[in-house]
Amino acid sequence: MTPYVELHCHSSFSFLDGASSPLELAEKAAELGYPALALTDHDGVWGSMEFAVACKGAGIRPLTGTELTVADQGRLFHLTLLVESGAGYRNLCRLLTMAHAGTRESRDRRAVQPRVALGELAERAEGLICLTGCARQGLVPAAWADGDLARGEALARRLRRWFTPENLRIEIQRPYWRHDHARNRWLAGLARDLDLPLIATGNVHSHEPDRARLQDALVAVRLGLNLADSEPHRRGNSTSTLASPEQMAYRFPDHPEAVAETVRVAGRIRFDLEHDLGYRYPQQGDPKTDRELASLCQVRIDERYRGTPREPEARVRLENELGIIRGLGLSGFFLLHHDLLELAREVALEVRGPSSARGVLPPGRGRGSSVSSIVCYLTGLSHIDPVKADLFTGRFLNEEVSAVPDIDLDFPRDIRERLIPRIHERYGRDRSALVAAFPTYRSRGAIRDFGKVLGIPGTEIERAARAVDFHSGSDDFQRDLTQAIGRERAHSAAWKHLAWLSRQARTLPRHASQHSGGMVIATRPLTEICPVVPAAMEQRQIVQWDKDSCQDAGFLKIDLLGLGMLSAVERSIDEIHRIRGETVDLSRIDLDDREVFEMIKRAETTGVFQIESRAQMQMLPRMRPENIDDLTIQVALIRPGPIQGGAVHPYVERRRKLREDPDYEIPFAHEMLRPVLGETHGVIIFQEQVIEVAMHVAGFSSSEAESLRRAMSRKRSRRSLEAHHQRFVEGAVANGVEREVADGIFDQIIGFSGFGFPKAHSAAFGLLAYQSAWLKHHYGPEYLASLLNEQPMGFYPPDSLVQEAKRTGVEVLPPDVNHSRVECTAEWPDPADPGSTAPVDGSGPAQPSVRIGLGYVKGINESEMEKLVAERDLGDSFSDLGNLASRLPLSRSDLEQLAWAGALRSLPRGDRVAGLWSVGLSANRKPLVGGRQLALPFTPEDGPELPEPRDWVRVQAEYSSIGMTLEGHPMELARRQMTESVLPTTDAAARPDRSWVQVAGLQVARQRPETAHGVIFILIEDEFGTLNLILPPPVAKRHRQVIRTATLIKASGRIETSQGVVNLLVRGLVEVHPPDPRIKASAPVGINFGRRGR
Amino acid sequence: MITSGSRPTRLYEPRPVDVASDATGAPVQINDVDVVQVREEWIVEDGWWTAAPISRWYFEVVLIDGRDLTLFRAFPSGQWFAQRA
Repeated sequence: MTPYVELHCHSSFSFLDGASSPLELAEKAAELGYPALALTDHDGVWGSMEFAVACKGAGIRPLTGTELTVADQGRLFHLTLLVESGAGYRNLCRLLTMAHAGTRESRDRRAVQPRVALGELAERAEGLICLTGCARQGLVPAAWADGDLARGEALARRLRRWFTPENLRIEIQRPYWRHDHARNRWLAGLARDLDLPLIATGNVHSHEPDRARLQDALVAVRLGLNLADSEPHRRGNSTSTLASPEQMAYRFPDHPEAVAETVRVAGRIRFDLEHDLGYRYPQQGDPKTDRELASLCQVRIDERYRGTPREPEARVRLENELGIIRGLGLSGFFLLHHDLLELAREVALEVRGPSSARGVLPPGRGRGSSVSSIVCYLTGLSHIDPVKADLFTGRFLNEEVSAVPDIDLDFPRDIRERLIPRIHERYGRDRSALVAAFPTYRSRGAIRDFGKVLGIPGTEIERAARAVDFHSGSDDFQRDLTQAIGRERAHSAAWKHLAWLSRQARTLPRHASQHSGGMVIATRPLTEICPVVPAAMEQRQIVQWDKDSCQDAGFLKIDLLGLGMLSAVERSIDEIHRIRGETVDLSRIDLDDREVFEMIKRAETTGVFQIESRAQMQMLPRMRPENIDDLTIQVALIRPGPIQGGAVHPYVERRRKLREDPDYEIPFAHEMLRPVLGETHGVIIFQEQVIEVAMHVAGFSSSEAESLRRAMSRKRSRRSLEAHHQRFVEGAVANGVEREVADGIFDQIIGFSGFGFPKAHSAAFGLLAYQSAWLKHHYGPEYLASLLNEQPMGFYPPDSLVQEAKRTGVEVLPPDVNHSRVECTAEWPDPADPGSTAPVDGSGPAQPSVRIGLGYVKGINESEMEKLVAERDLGDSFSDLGNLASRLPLSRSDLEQLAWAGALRSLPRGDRVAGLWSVGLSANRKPLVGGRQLALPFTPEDGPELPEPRDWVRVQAEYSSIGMTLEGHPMELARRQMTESVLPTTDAAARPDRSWVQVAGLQVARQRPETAHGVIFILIEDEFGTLNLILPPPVAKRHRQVIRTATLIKASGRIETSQGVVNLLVRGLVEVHPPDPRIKASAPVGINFGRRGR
Repeated sequence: MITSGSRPTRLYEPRPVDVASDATGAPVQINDVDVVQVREEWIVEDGWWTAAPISRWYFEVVLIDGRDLTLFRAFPSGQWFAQRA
């Protein structure tokens, strides 16, 4: 085996340049016999931790480095830097942080090329080994290419001074470009003259030659060029792949010493990224923290449990947990979280205001398995009593836990927005940063990017992008593509290439972005542990690692998540107080409100947290949750884990049988499962039940069980599953379980995989689900207004939320310049208002109406609407259009938008069309002292009679202006073109089981769950209600285009009724075409949520 | 770019040559003239997305009679062509 180590290698974390994942590179290197491999991605260590883990798994040693972009005399060059020691890694992080520091200074914050001034290396060379750079753009070789040999020598001498001869190598490469020999001859001469070793590298960009095509395409995408035009910037051949050591030696026949040098250099490097980071979180290992945490918990336990029946158990649990925490040295960890929550309390007070009705709400709520911990409960991190809810702590905290536990906190969005910068202030901007995320190529993005580089016409790309999913089965996509662009084009070479590229790129990261809520805090400057770079959002900065890498690094990561429902709930509390003067304290509401549970059982849960999805609504009438514990299971049940694990049907069936016959005996696969799975009727529903089953049945220790759970859930760890399988079966057999039964239980575990909720998390979410249902039931209008103000969130677009609310009797009023705020509000109708629906006998409406806010009017800047409302608040209502136009500098376009949205109807001649005409008169005006002069001095009342748009034109006006219809459902109109055989959804649902019916409606939601094997579910809505359609795979395939593109559909099929759930099993499907084709373009189809008007 | 058919040929268009190569694939004789030095060697693989992809292994050589020559071997045909250096 020829000794050679590759020291210059790019993964897909050289975004849009490297074409292979770190895992692919590591595995290929191991296959080729490499003892070690360096990763040197451009200007970052984004993938280095993932690489390190992958290499360890493949049995080779990972070497950390980067290809740094340096600026010298106005030009950019590359240098290869390898980390030899901890000091070198710190220097690398500092250099990379510097390189990115100024990359988002433009107004749109678009990132520019990172770079660091060459001179900055002088002070930061210690512990780094420097190679002089790649053939194309290396600092020293580029001088040769320019013909400026003296400059090249001078630069090499500078580097020699900074890095010393020990740590500088003259780098030669053989990319099989013309002039390789001449360049390498010069570099070898330079090495001799400066008495420096020569070193050979491969500048690897993919793990195998076939990926070179993808690499070409990625470069073209990065440069915004097509493949032909990008030729000067591409690699030109497929030799920049990971070659065997023999092949690499063959490339340098004249420089065998350069090949051997790679092994010497690799041998010197002892830095281990996983273990040598030196990270500590604040208060880690501080002995005072044990006492502090214990004393805080003692105070709280007295407050919450003294004198209650649960006190003894609570105290035992607390002692137990504190002991584990002390043993693991984690007291500081919990105190840090407590500290953060106190900070969140301060922020919440600022955001909400001191006298706000929201003040009774906690600033945030814990989620995830941390909710099971009594220490978390007592320190305020969780709001669920784990003793009362009987929550198992072992998943979150046990003696053998090796990774820092995960604590996730949900906040209302507005509190979270302020909290993040405050955390930076409290801990220091150099000691806190958000976690990165790496979006990967999805089908649509791949079609657009690669379609362009292949020179496919833009219209064809767009048609295909909407219709095709390259990541579904190959049969489907070919058929969809043919339907979208025609047979000849679909079978053309260009589209074949595109399909291939798209599949190859599928899991590769496309760029770096910000994780939704993860934040890292350290005691030392983070910039010495992981480079910190500016994020696209202002005032945000991210580390270069994602959550998996941060976890591998042992970082304390806090997830600060902005949960739309928490925001909606808080707004509801405020709105209820504002409009009714009532203060609702959600912690004190009746958790056993029968009316609320009846509403839930009837699946009237549109807009309710976690139980509003189509799938949930199918389950609720069968499950019939009666209490919070049932809701906890309900939330956890409709998840990929229980579904794939085959838990749903058995659970539902057993529950039904128990209801009918309380003496029914639950069948367990083995008696040993009874204590673990008793509460879930013998099936695995909660995440930690996997751990409990493994521990109880097969004798796994808690850390072995945790390792099993992680192996199932993390994309990198699937290989170890088989090892766990063996261990499980052996352990179970040793405990007296038959081998077949043990295999069956393990199958259940694997089917479940990692995709389920911990019970604690479900409990937290179940409680929020109940609270949101309670608000919906008792304060429907305020709740609806709050949901509308927090979009996008939830399962349904605003239009569907409004339609459902209207069906339950909530009145929804259109936006109006004299009544609306920017946001949606609850409003008591004014009896004096001509359009009012308030009872004329003065008895008063039972509940307020909802007024759509001006922010929903599309095409208008929200800030303009804020000025409008402020002006109205200061002065009087607007008396007419002239008055409005004279008081505010609204553009003609803004006024037209308001008119078309019907927002001027409280003004004379303010109807849609009349309003547009009037706007034409009022819009042009000059600013004068005291107001604005109208262009023409006549009153709008003098205008002609102009009829209002009706029917489809009216529907189109509503959709295009506010994204919803308030004046009548489009199905009312469509029904006029249909025979009576097309039934309202409510009538169809009332038909007996197995009746054949036809229905029609708007597509509101559409799902094709991976667990459903090709079945498509569609929720349609008409003017009466909604109905769930089930399309078996052949029907779904036959009507794929209609499903994807039609707004209104008519379906025929058979009603299926079971346990209160009604579905239509579809046989035929057609699109319903409204007379006005423009309707299709503007009506919101469920899966793209309606956007607020901006 | 090689053109074919009856159109007038361009100046400097690659012309087929007869090459003997060694075990590594490098040319040692071109149209019976010995090669004394291979100065440069490079590979071009491009246009894979077109109907006429290119895969060529280029050599810049010095012949025994003192001439410089650039030639390439085209794949998949394996044919050798010389073009003006």
